Amino acid sequence: MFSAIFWFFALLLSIALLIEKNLKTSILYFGLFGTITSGAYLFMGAPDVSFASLALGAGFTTFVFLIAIKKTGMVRVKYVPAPYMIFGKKEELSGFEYELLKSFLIEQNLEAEYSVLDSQVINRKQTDIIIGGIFSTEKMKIDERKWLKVEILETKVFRDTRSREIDLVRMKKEILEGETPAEEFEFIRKAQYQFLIEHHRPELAEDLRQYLKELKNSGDFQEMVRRYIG
Amino acid sequence: MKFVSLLVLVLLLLFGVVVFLYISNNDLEKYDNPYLENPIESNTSMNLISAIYLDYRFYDTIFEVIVFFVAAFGVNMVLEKLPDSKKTKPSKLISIHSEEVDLRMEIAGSFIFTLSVIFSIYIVFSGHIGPGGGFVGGVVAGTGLLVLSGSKDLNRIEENLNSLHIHEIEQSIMFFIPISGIVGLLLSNAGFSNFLPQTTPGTFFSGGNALLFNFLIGFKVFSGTWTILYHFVRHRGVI
Repeated sequence: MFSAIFWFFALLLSIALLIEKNLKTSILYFGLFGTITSGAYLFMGAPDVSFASLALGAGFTTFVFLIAIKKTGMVRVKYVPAPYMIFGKKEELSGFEYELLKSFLIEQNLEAEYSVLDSQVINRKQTDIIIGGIFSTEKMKIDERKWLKVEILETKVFRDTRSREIDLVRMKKEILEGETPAEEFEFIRKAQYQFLIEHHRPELAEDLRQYLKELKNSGDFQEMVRRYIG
Repeated sequence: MKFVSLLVLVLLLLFGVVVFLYISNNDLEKYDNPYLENPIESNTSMNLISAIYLDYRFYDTIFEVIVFFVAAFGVNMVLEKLPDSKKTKPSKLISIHSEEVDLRMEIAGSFIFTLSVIFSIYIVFSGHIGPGGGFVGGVVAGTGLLVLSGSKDLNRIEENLNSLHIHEIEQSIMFFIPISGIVGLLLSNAGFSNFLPQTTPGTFFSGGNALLFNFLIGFKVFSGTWTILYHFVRHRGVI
């Protein structure tokens, strides 16, 4: 009777394990699965098997899997250099999006490898996240369905006299450096800055959305916007 | 590619059906099972499972231990030659924040390690009386050592283990098994017969050689587990 209850929970857990997108949660479910089956064995009168299930299923395997996902704990970030968002030399990058992503990755215990995006060849197998003041994906040579979009920050899109579309931060830089006078820009529409996340890592997009929500609630997000963009 | 995986699935299902039919059509109890009659009188182990796998079916256990030995040896041999993973220091493995070793983790790690070692000693040496045994005890101690190494400096723990000559003892354990077989052969007429005292069931010196074999297997599995996990940690992300 008791073992039937345990097996029922084990069944539920194994289904949850399959649907769960976050790897860490999935591994914790797996450890819980080992513990619950060990309880089931105990009530079926097999304490030896129960011990082995607890030591291996809940202890050893969990550790092996945790070590293994540390290997996938590397995120390859491709960026388009954008003023105020992500700029600087390779070793000393700075900017709003860079700092945002960095604090998110530290929270997730992930490490990142940054390199400049070559817009002609976007290799999905070599890229997990694309950042850098992206407000429209129309001109990028990517498959829309293969990338998840996470909206970061609201922006405005302008058109200048050469009918070139430009976003807020890039326009600000051009005006401040005196390349183009401010009168030439004409407001068209509102848009959102996005992070593009490869569709095989849906848990990353989900966690990032959650993280942004928390950051906005705590007020740190507004503080970061003020500090880096102004 | 999809065709191949479908084929594999069908073959696996067929295999499962065949095994099920075999088991349901054959009476497995027709094989000779000496332990079905009076196991306590012939072996004096309170734990029937321990009596079976350390006495009546000890050859099975020997080959299992050999399989584990080969696995640990292979991991050691292949991964030893690879360079260390450079990007992350091993000591950062389980700490909550990846930047520094956490004091809370260090204290909790030592605590868990002590507990797991005490528990593993208990289940190794009481394996013939109650549930437990060498294999489980070894895994518990090995995982406990990994928890400790996650919260402390991995290199220091490795030095401590090397100064205790764990690896030499581990590799020499494989010699103890044939030696115990020969001793059993010399003392009575069959290999691997019990030569340790067999007193009343339930006492420490009962179950014949179960005590010795539980200890040997426990130590073997402990060091094997540690070797595998240690190399996985040290060289992770290299391949």
